Amino acid sequence: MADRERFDVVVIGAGFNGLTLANYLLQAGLRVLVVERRLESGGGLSSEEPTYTGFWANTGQYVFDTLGLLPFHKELALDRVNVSFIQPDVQSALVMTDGRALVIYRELARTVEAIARVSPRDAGTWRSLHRLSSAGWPQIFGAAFRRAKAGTRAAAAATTGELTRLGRMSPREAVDDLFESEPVRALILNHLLVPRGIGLDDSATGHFVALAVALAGEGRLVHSGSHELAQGLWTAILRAGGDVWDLGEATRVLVERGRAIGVELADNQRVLARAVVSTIEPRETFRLAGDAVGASVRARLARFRPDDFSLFAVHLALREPPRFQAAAVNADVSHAFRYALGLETVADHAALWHAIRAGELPDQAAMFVSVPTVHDPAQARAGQHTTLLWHFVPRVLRGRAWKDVRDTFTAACIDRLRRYAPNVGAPTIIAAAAMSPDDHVAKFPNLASGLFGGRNSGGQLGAFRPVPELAGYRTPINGLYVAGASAAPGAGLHPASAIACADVVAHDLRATRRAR
Amino acid sequence: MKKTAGYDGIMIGGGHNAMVCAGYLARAGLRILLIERHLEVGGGLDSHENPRVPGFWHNVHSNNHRGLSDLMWYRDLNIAAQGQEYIRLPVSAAMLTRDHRAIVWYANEPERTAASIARFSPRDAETFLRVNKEYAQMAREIFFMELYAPPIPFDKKKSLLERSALGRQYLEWQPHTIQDVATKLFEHDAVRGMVVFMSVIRGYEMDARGMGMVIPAALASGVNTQMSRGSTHRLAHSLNKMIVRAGVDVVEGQAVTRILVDDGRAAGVRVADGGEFCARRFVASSVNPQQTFLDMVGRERLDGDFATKIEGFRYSQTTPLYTLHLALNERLYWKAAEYDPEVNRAFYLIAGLEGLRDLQELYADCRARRLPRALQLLGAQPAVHDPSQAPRGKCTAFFWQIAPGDLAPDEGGKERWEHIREEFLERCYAHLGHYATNLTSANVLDRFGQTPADIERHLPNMVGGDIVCGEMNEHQVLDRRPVPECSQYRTPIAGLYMCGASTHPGGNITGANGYNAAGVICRDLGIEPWWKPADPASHWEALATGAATAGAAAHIPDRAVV
Repeated sequence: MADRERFDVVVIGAGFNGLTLANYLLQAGLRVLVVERRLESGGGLSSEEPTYTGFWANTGQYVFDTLGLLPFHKELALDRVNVSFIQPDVQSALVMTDGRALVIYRELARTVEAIARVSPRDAGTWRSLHRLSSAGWPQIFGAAFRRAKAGTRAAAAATTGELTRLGRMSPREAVDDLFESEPVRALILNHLLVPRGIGLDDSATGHFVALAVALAGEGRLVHSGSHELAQGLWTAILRAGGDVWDLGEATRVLVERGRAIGVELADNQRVLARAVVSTIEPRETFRLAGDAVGASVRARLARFRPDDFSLFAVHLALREPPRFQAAAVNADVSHAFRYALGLETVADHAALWHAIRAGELPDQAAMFVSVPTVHDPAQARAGQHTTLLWHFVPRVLRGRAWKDVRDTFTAACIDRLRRYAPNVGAPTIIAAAAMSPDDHVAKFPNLASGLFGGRNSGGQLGAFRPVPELAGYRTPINGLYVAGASAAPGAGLHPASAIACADVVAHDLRATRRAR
Repeated sequence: MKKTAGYDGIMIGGGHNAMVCAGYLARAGLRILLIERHLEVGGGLDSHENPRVPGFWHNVHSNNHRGLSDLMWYRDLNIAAQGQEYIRLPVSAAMLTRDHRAIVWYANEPERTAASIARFSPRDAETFLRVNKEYAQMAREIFFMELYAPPIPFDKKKSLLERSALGRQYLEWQPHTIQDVATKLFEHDAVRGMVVFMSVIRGYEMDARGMGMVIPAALASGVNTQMSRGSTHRLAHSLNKMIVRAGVDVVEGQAVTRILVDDGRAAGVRVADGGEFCARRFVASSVNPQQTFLDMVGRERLDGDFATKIEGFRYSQTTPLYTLHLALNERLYWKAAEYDPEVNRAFYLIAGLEGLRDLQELYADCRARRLPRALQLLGAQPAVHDPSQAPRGKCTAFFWQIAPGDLAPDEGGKERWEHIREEFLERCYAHLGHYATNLTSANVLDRFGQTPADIERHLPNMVGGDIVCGEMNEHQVLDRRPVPECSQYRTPIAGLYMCGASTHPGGNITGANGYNAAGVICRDLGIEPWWKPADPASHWEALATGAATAGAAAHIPDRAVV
């Protein structure tokens, strides 16, 4: 079949990273095409009606907490394409079985006050870590966060020292070192899991504790649902003269004399470009490029470790929001954006990881819950609600198939929620829909490395992600670049890799116009 | 409250008609805002991925986009250049009988259709071929042309048509009902049933007078079945691309709650979160008349008689659908293939219709707002024709059953659908099993039912699940749709227009309503359309005087949509 028109860059995959990347490249004056396997762009930026008509579930990601560090929405003027975010005042609640709750707020002072009631010492630590992290994070994260506001040089130096110290620890060691209160420790571990995908004993990730503190008040949801962000990014691409081809599955990266020259699609159509950026799973990227990549990179990629956990998601359509018993003690609990259930101590985390590594269903609740409709009524029918449960589970069950336990585990998840919010039951549930780890992968084959793009531990972070040869987004194949959740600086429901990769590509292509 | 100015016009609703209209107007130089309550535009151009078995995409409203890629707006607005592709289906439909025979209807091969009919009735086969030839020109130059232009008041139209042979053909059939015409033309009840069903499924009331011309037009034009590659919703993406590239601003996830009227003139809209958008020159609503006038304008701003008429706009009980959706390990095959192997190639399958009598019984049930006593499923397996809609080697299928949405109180009311979703699914499934060779539990990976009440919940425009947004009977078509005051797409409120399925020529994916409204709006704003809107009055005048040239109807496709 004839070659199609030429582009400067073809981006493989129209997920959060692919769509963002395309926008930055267009801002740099390049001609950009995004090819997407699915009918719908957005990848994990998806809002669907899996339960019941009129109840919009965010079936991928739902929390966005890095907009302060990575103001891509401002740089891309997404307000002009109908994208807006809601940042709830009550950000998260660690709900405990004894009826108490540790509540975190958008406003730092309120958070510190809440923590001080548990431990004055921890409140002070929280405040100082918050300051530290805000000043030092851009330096630690380098290119991806280059646009974040940097602190003073002196503050940065002090910060770097402490972050380096923490960076030698695991999160568990770091929270033990920093905090005395068990709920505060657990809360931080919770915030590392969602949305960073970092587990309590992932080596050399202790410095993320500071990030968790800095971003604890920063959670936002997309007005009308996560898919509206995808829709806005998509519209911005078209407006800037770019294009997105849905049902455009890339089946080959065309390589000629060691240089990527375009892609071939499932319908045999070839699209030529000066550069190809892949935002899909890196091993899949190099499979598409054939044998053109060197053996050492392939060998290293073969050892790239996938996430060792996964999520079992339950979406509920409800007649009323879950009414948490803990709200009787602290009324703010009813308005929290995110809830953590069953993870109130470090020991709870340890038990969860034990079950996950044994391939067993955790016999404790290990759930993150959100009720987006409390903050954005447009996501359900008038007066009614959606609720999202993310239960942490093994990617693969030992001796059992997910499809065989899906229904019983869905019921178990709802039961576990009911222990904290007794009104969730037959009279209030209109419909429920579940997605097991297998379902996530069936929907997005890109998630073969895991929902967080591959383990976020020391050997696979920052300059080592996914493997050292690829961490600068360039690859051994000229003109082929990698971005996405498996690329530096790692997953975390932000498009950091896209922004950093766009700079590299624009530089290499000598784009005339500088990105804003 | 934020007020956003700067728009010439605002479109309410983002179905395909609103997008077609917006595309024409934006390309006429107007600054347009389109507001849609869903996150995705498209209205009935909707496809959902199965949440239980990812990779299966189900088209939950429209499927067959008859002749769409031949239409003028498809060309004018460069829809193909947005990546849109259509798959033409040579075998349009197969009606499977209980004893596993079949009538097969080909898209554009009347001789083959006639041969299939001949196995039931040689006389009917001859009639089919005769009508197909005799009425081809009438279908094109009267019937289709009239769909793609604002309706001409009946008296004026009559006087124009009486003067030409083609016009007289139209007038000869027009006064009758669809079922009477079919009965008059054909002798075999199965043939009558099939011919009528293909019109009924497009929303025409078979027992309404004044609709008789639909049958000769349908027989003459072929069915011209085609489907959007990649699923129905892909056309929504293509239209979305087209309007964005034409400079239209799109706001999704916001429901319009109010049309702002200033000094008797539509001046903007308010949305659910309280924000307001101003329109300097017009507001065009693609939602139904009650939503537009009673909910959004407000009864207090309407003339009493007009408000009463709007309240009286009726929704059909014979178009709502219950849908059985299937995700299949392998496609279904039909027992009737032994009789005629072509049934396995057909797009639409009709299972349960032996003849017109079955439709009459169905109508009696629907009009009494009862559940149908017998089933007449009509459906297809989209992934047979477009493998991209299912995982490799696997298949999707849907089967519609016409059933009233608004069940009678003694039948349990509309709420009953909520309780019988599974039971009715079971009934449809068992019924289908009689016709298929391989509808086994091992072959079915997932199945779910969608009730008429679900349709309305999803698209409130479709009251009671009426897929054509207002009954298409003699009182509510052409120059009376939705009411005479609004039949030219204008309304009694200055600057407020209608452009959705509740206007002429009614429901279905035709784009005609939006196309026609765009022409009217342009001219009212003093802008000469950049395209060539059809002008049936002059064409029919020319037909009467013998001055018609072949070129005058050149933009009307030969095989248009009915």
